Amino acid sequence: MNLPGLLFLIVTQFLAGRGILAMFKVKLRPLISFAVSSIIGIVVFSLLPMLIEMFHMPITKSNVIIFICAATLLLNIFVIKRYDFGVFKQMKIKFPPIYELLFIVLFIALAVPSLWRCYYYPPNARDVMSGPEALAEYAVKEHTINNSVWSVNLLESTPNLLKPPFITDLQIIYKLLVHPFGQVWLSIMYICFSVWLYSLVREKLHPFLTGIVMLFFLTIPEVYGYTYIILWDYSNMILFFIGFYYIYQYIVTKEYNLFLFSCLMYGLATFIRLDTLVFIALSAPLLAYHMWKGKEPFLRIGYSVVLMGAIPFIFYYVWVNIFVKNYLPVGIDVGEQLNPQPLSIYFDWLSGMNSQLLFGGDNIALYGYFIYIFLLILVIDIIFFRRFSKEAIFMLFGIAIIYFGMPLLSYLTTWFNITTAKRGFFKMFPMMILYMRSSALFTKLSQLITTFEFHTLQEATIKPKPQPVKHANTIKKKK
Amino acid sequence: MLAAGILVITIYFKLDFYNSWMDERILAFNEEIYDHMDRMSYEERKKIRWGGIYTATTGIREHIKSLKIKDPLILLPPPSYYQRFGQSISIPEPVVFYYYSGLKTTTVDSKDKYKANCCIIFEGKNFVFEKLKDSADVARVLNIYKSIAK
Repeated sequence: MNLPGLLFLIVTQFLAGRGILAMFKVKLRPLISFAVSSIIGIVVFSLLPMLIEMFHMPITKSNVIIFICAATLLLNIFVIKRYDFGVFKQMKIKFPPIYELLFIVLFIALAVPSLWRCYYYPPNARDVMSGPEALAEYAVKEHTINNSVWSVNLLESTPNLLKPPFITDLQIIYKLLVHPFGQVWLSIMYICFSVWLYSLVREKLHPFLTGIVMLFFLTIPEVYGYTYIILWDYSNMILFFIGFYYIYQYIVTKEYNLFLFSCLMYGLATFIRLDTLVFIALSAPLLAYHMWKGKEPFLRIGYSVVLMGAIPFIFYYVWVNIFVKNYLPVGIDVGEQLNPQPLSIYFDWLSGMNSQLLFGGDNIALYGYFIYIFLLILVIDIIFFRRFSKEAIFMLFGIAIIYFGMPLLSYLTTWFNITTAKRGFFKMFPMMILYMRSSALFTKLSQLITTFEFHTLQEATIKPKPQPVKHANTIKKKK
Repeated sequence: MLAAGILVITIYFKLDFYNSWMDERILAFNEEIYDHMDRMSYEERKKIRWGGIYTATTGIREHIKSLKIKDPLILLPPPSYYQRFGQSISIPEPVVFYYYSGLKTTTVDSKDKYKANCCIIFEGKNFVFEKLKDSADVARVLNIYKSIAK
C-alpha cells in the first residue's frame, strides 16, 4: 500500500469537503467536520476521472493528481477567509467516561475486521466485477474509461457498465495512488459515517444509550457486510441521509444555505445511484408541507421544490445525456428501462418485500433484529408516551418514503428486484437511528440516567462517606 | 454504568443470532488474520477471493499463450454441454473473464460467435482447446455443441 498516496488523498478529500462545508456555511465541531468533509471529498473526487475524460485528457497518475489539487484549490480559494481556525485553540480534548469508552472500544473491535478485509481482498461483488471494477482496471492500463472492456462481448453486463462512474472513478484514483485493489475509500467512508452518526446520537442521548443505539446499527449484518464489499448502496445511504438530515436542519433553522447544501448532497447521492431521484421526488411534498407550515411564500416553496429536483437532475443529466452519449461506445435508453405496469403489481412488490425482506424470508439474516427493535421503540412511544418530537415525525416520514418508494422503483423499472431492494432499504436505517435519538422512550431513559448519575455525583460530593480519621494523639493513646 | 454496559453487551451478543454473527464475522477474524499474513502477495489474495474460477481462467490464459493464437476469441460451450460430461463448470461472463485473464470470450448466443478463432471442446476424457480456422469451422463446433447439449 502506498501510504503517502493515501495520506495525500485523506488530506485533499478533507480539504475539498471542508471547502464545500464552508461554501454553504455549515458549521461543525472539528472532529465531526473532518468526518463529514472526508465523506463529501470522496464523492466529489469521484467526479474527477470522468471530467479528465471529458477534457479529452489521458487518465494518468499525474493528471489525476493535478485534477485533485485543482479541485481542492477551487473549492477552498473563495472561502478560505471564512475558516475559523480559532476552534482549534478552543478545542478541549475531554476523555470519555469509562462506560462510553467500553462501547467505543467495542465499535473499534467491530471495525477492525471490516477495514482489514477491505484492504486485503480484491473486489468481489458480481455487479462491480462485470462493470466498474473491470472498467477501472483497464482505465488504469489504457488511460481511458472508453477502453477495451467495451470491445468484449457485453451480454448482460451493459447495465453495470453504464451505471454512474462513482465506483469506477474512485477505483481508478485509489488504484493509481494507493493500492492495486482500490477499495480503501470505502473504509474511510465507513469510519467517517460511523463517527458522524455517533456524534448525532450523542448530541441528544446519554453516552450509555448512544452506545446501545449505535450497537444496533453497527451490527446490522447486511450493512456491515457492505462496509468492506464495494457496491453503490452503502455510499448512497450515507449521501442520501446527509441530504435528508440537512433538509430537516433547514426546516428547523430556516437557514437557506443548509437547504442548498442538502440539494447538493442529494445530487451527489444521485451520482452514486440514479434511482435516488425517485426518493428525492417523494421527499418534495414533505419539504413543501413544512415550508407551507412555516408560512414561507408560495413562490419560495415552488422554486425550492424545483431546486431540490433540479440540482440532482443535473448530475443525472451529465452522466446519461452527456457522458454516456458522447464519450462511451454503448448508449443507454432510459425509456426502455421504464416499465410501468398495472397498479396491483405495485402492491405485489410491496407485499413481496415485506414477506421476503423486512418481516419474513431472510429478514433476520439480512438485518438482524434491527427493524424489530425500531418497531418496539415506536410501539412503546405510541402506547406509553403518545408524543413525538418534530425530528421523530420527520424521520418517520423519511422511513415511509423509503418503505413505499422501494416497491415503486421495482414497479416502475425493469432493473429493480428483491436483491436490489434488500440493499436499497439501507437508506431507512440511519433515519431509524435518528428516530431513536429523539424517541420519547430514549429521551426519558436518557434523562433518568443523567439524573441518576447526577444524584450519585451529588451524594458523593455533598455527603462524603465518613472516613476514619487518624489523629496523632489517638494513635499515640492506642500505642 | 460500566457494569450495566458490560451486561447489555453480554446479553446482546448472547442472543442466538448475534452470537453466531459475532463468531462468523468478527471473532473468525482472529484466525483469518494469521492465514492472511502468510499469504500477502496480490496474486494469492486474488486466488483466495475468487477461487477456482480465477485459477482456471489464468490457466487458460497461459495455455492460449502456448498455442500462439493472435488476438484470441474463445468460443465457450453452453453450460449444458459441460453438464453432459458430468462437469458443473461455471465460466464467468465475458467481461469478468476478460478482467481475470485479458482474454476475450464469446458464447453460442452472441453475435460475434463466428469471429471466434478457438474453442473449448470435449475430446477423449478432457476439455481441450481447438483452433478454429474460419466461420465454417465455427459452424461445425456450434453443431457439436447443439447436438451434445440437447
